[in-house]
Amino acid sequence: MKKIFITIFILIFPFVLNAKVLKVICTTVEIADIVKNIGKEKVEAIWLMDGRQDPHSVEPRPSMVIKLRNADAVAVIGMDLDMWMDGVIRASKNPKIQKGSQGYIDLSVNIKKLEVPQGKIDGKMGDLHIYGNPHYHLDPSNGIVMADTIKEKLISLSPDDGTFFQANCTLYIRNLETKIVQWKKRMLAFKDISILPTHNCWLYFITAFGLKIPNYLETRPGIPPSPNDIVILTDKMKKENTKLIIAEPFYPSGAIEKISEMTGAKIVRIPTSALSDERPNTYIDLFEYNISKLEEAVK
Amino acid sequence: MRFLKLLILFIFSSASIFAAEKNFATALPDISFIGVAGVRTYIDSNENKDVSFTFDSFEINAMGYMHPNVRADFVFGAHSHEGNIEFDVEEAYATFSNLSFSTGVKVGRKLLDFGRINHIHSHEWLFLNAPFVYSNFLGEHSLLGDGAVVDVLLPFPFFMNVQAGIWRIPTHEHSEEEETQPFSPAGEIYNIRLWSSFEVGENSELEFGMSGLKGHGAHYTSHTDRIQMAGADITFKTWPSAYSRIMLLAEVVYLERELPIGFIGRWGMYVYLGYRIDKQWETAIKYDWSETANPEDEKKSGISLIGSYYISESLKLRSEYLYCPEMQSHTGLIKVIFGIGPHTHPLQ
Repeated sequence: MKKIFITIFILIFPFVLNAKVLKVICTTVEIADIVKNIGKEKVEAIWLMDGRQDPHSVEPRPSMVIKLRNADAVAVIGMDLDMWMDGVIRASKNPKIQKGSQGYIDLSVNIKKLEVPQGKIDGKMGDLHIYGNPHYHLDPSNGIVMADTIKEKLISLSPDDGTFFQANCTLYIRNLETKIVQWKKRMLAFKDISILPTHNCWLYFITAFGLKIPNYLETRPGIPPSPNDIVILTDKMKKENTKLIIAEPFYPSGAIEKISEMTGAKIVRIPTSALSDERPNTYIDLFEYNISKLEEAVK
Repeated sequence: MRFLKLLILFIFSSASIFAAEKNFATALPDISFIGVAGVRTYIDSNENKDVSFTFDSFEINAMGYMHPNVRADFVFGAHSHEGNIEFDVEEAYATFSNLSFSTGVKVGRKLLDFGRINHIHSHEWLFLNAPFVYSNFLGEHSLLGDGAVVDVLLPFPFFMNVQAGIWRIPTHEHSEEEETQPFSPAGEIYNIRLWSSFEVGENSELEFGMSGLKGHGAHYTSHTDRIQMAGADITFKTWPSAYSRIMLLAEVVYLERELPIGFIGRWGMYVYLGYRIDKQWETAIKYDWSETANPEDEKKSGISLIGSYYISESLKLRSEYLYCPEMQSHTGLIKVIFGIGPHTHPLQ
């Protein structure tokens, strides 16, 4: 009898486990973090890239396909930022997560988008995104919108856990709102400090915290500055007394180091996405860490 | 006829662009344009010299969904062939995806999934000169056929994909100078490809591929010309940082051909080692060696040095220097590869 029970338990156990856990594949570490905060033990959140990589140019790999094959949902940034995911999703042949399916979570759908181009766009304007600037997660209030979108999708995928997801989401948003108030207070110190970001990926961050950004290193997104651009830019920076250059960890050093030498502006390397194995490793920590780094730089 | 084709393509593409400009809702497909042009220099021990500007190819790609699980892809191409420009429908196929058991089916005209790179359009290759084993065994241009392929993602804990296809490939016209004509498979062809991949740590990937092909050689309508081909390839990629990549690719192909004179067996291979230094620069070296598919057993080898400069996401410059010891020839190529639109080759 004991043997029969053990056999039944062994046979049923994996199904019992799988029945309750939703497997959600997320483009970035911070999306996986939000999913985990809302789904807790009822989700398995797996990320595909971290803040050391440029989300525009991740090379899709066959091993990613395997992660997606049995997924219940996939959560993407959308707006063509992680368009490399499209091929991976198609190759997975998993009908649950294809575009338009229940398990396809495009986190940009409810976001108030900035820099949405009008009319004809082409390479003259640089590498523009046709649906607008896709780096919306760098405005922490968009984290609330993202959490809400994730919650709604998780509820639709597992209605029985609706109350659980709702409660976790409310708690997460409340915590995030408290943090946003604190961050905005801390960022007031930067109100009159001129900053040079490399790329317009910082647009939402700048807008959220009311930073003074007279220029970008890239005059057109995705196009490195020419020597002439650098000369013009350094003149402007000197006039505007630009003190900081903010750059993603992967941004090439050449131009920014040269500009830093010419103007005396300090380079602050801060990630636009959370990291997998060291700080910042959550969505909230991404802001904590980045703001602390900026504060350290102007001390 | 050529101009009529171009006119249709122009109207088709302009309509899409006009709709996009005006922000109209549109049911038109995604359209991409890709061009390859450049300059070629050649010199060999017989004092043959040539410097020429080359227009290699121009492609118009159109892609769109007809059903949530059915997608259509069309590639119209203009290619330079022996000094003339030839227009053709390069690919036109429907993909039925998300079928049961992780299966998909493609039906229509398509580049065959034989070897590591035949199914990838040449403008997406990592080099400018086709590997000798490809041009000797598959034909001067990539091998394409009319037919169908079934594609299954096998239920293993690692990536393993199998594709099996049946194709009809146009036959070459027979001539007395057959032995000097380029060889390619023709007629009814069956092919299979097994492709697997393993994650090696967080930043590396190791891929293995095996390909098989059975059918006829280009002259089978005039005399016995049965062929079997088998290939194996290995690709190792590692990404030390966000933009840098080291890639090693090696492929070997064996061709067995049954002719009136009997069986002949031929080998060919190439090895590519590339280093993507940063977002814009890439450098590589490639070694090629191949026997010809003809009864006269000739061998050809070459070593290439390749440099690429990625100006933007849709524009790159590539140069390649090729030295062939058998002919003591030096070939230099500089090409600009430019494109607009969303055409990509995922996972390749």
